[in-house]
Amino acid sequence: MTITIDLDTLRALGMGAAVLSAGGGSFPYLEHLCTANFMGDRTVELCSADSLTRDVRVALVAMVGAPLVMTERFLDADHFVKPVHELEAIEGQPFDAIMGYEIGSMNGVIPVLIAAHTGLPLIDADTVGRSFPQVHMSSFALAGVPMTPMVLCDVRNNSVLLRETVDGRWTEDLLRVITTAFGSVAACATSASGATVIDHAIPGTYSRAIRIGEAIFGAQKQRADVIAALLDAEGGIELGRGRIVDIVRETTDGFVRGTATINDASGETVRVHFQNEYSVVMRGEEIISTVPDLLCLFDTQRGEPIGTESLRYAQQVAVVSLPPAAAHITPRALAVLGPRGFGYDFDYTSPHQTGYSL
Amino acid sequence: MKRIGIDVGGTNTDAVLLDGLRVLTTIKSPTTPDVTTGIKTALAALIARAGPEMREAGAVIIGTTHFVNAVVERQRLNRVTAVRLCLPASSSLPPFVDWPSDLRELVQQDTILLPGGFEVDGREIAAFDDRLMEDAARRIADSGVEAVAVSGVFSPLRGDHELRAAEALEKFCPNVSVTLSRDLGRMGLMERENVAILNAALARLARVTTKGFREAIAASGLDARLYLTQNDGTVMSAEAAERAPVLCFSSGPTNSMRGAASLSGVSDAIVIDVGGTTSDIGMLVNGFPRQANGVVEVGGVRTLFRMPDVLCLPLGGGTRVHADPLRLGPDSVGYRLTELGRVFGGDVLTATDLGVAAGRAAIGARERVADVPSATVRWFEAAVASMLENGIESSKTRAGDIPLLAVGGGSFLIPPELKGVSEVLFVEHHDVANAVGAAMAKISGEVDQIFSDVGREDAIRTATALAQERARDAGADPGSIETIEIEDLPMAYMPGNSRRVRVRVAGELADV
Repeated sequence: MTITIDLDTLRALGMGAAVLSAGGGSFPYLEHLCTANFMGDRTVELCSADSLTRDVRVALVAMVGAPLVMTERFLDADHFVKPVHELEAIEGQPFDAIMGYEIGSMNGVIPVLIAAHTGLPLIDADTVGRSFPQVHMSSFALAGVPMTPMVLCDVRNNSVLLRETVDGRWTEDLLRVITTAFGSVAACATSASGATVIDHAIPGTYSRAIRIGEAIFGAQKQRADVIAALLDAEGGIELGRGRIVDIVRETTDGFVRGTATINDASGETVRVHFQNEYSVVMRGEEIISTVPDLLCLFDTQRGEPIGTESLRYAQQVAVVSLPPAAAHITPRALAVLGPRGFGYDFDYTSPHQTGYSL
Repeated sequence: MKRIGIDVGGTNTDAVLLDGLRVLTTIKSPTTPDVTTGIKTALAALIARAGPEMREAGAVIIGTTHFVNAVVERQRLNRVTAVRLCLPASSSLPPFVDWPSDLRELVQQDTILLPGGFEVDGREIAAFDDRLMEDAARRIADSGVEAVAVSGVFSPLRGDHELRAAEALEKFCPNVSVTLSRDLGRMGLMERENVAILNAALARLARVTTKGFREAIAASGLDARLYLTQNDGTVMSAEAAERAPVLCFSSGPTNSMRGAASLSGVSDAIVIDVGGTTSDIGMLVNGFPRQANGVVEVGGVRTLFRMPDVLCLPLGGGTRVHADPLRLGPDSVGYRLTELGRVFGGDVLTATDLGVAAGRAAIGARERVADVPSATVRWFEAAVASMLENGIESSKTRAGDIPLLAVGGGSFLIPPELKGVSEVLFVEHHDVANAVGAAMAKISGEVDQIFSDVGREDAIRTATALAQERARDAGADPGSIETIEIEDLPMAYMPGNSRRVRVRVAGELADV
């Protein structure tokens, strides 16, 4: 079934992308507004990855940099479509479709803007299925697919072509230097073949985000329990509900690490550890759910996901674990995306495997 | 120094005369559609009651909701041209883009986007273009618009482009009132620009209102300086308020919290102000209301600036009590309580009636609620306690029991014992807490800045010194300046271990 993204679907997508960011961000207000204004009556066709032929040419797009800077330097259609056109010029062939690199928060919405601008369809897939803090955690990087050639553009007439990099770590390091020089916001595009997308992308992530957003807005409209609607729509499991009684944060190596402690209604203490995104949920001393499970905190009063930066003392929250993408729980993926990949000394634990319930 | 505090509310204008922190005289008089007359009447009544002591008052401090009401009611606003220094960035979402259409139609004259603004690390996005700015200033002068709002990308970090725009406007259109976003708002271009535009839209009203206040003081024969209270519980001179009316938006709840602190002598507490229709719950930290961190909508416009974090619950003296099944509000008879409430001879059962039936207060005719079943009274007390306890828990900034200060006309509804509360303090003069809060307000300075490659201690020290300098410039007595709030937020993705530090300081009004 093809989905057509119009203004209602776009709004649902923005909310779903906030949930899938797993604490990496909240509803991308400005990016949604910019995209909605650009689209007007236009629509974007969402096509499934398995409907592609292996020889189509796909442009992978993203904003690379500091989300905070986007609150001052707004998303701009011409700026973000530029690396796509430059890659076409470099490679001498037009693209057939657009794909988002990472669905989480604003990077879930930006590819819609680019698809609307170019008139190309958007692929219902990405390479992360959520938000992860580092480039080498994408499904393409895990499969050893090169991320080059990559074009990065700033809002002036600067553009950089990364023709070749040794590996994902080098890509990450070079991206940081270039992005910082650009003012901590870069529009980024790489090219991929239909074959690469079919073999290595994480499928169905856009329709998943839209489904999540529609469940949330639907429940809000009927004044029903948003969390229940989400669990129902996504096969999620609630791991606790109560007030935040403590928050600790510290910055190391460009990451905000910390812990939110929640007094669960049962009297048990629930701890949620985060590293830019939520990474581990514990009840008492027991580890219940870890990355790559999709962990989310919801503000139960407003019925909306909360990013790690917006956590506050005394907020009334629900802790939810959504099932991870199938591609994230292969032994090879778990070595990078499981808790050990984030520096913890324990293995992947998931209520979706143990059948845990409160 | 003796001071007069005046709170202009929706129904009443309250005035108090304070000597230091001691309340000498209080009066209540009705608010008039023309604010000046109400203040003249209040001052006259205060003089009549306090006598010659009033002449010694060195300052009149006024808290008013006049400006925020103008935005909410879409009345008395002037048109504004918005100038944004951003190109080639941030052109996709022009000024006014997310305003409600009725307000935009009323306020928007023109929008002009020009090269300029800064990167997060302080470099220019593009050079400021004097020639283009001059063209813009001439276009503004020709349009006859009264006010201009200037915003620039990352202007809280570096404001020099906004200042150069202000110089050009001063030169080519000296009679136009200019608001710079860096002076009012925080990080977040859209919200900061919205604050600047709202401020500019109030330019004419602010001029007329402060002039009226001055006339009212002069007509009363007082030789006192005029101050207006602002959202963070401090005051600014009338001249500063004329330039920054948005900073008066939330004076009401702020002044009642500050007044509660002063009247009780407790500086860290929960404050509940129970009015006729609602209860405002806020946290006092070091004697000041805790500030909201996120976006606050004013008249449908997203803003981000100094505002107290206040939780509003549907519980007031006039809140209706419904039977079958028993239900508390949320509707209220409001100012008609003294006509419709049972104890006043009416036939609507209200929270006040239940409070009287429970023996919490002796108001009106108690025998008129003698037929209320005791089970209903018990249900009411439990419902009020549970609503307040939930609100208190949401408002707290730390665990543990803390004191609660009860103020406002309906404060007798607050039970003397509540979960999460160490003690409930019913303060004297609680019905004029707003005016007391206005009279005792201090003068403040604030810094909100991103620091890179600087340790936490150094960043806070630098920010504090700058905030103190701003407080002194605003008229604070240097010896009395204290730090009220320090916030330190580490930021991911930004170069060089960046952190955002916000420091607020305040001191007593210096004697001039």
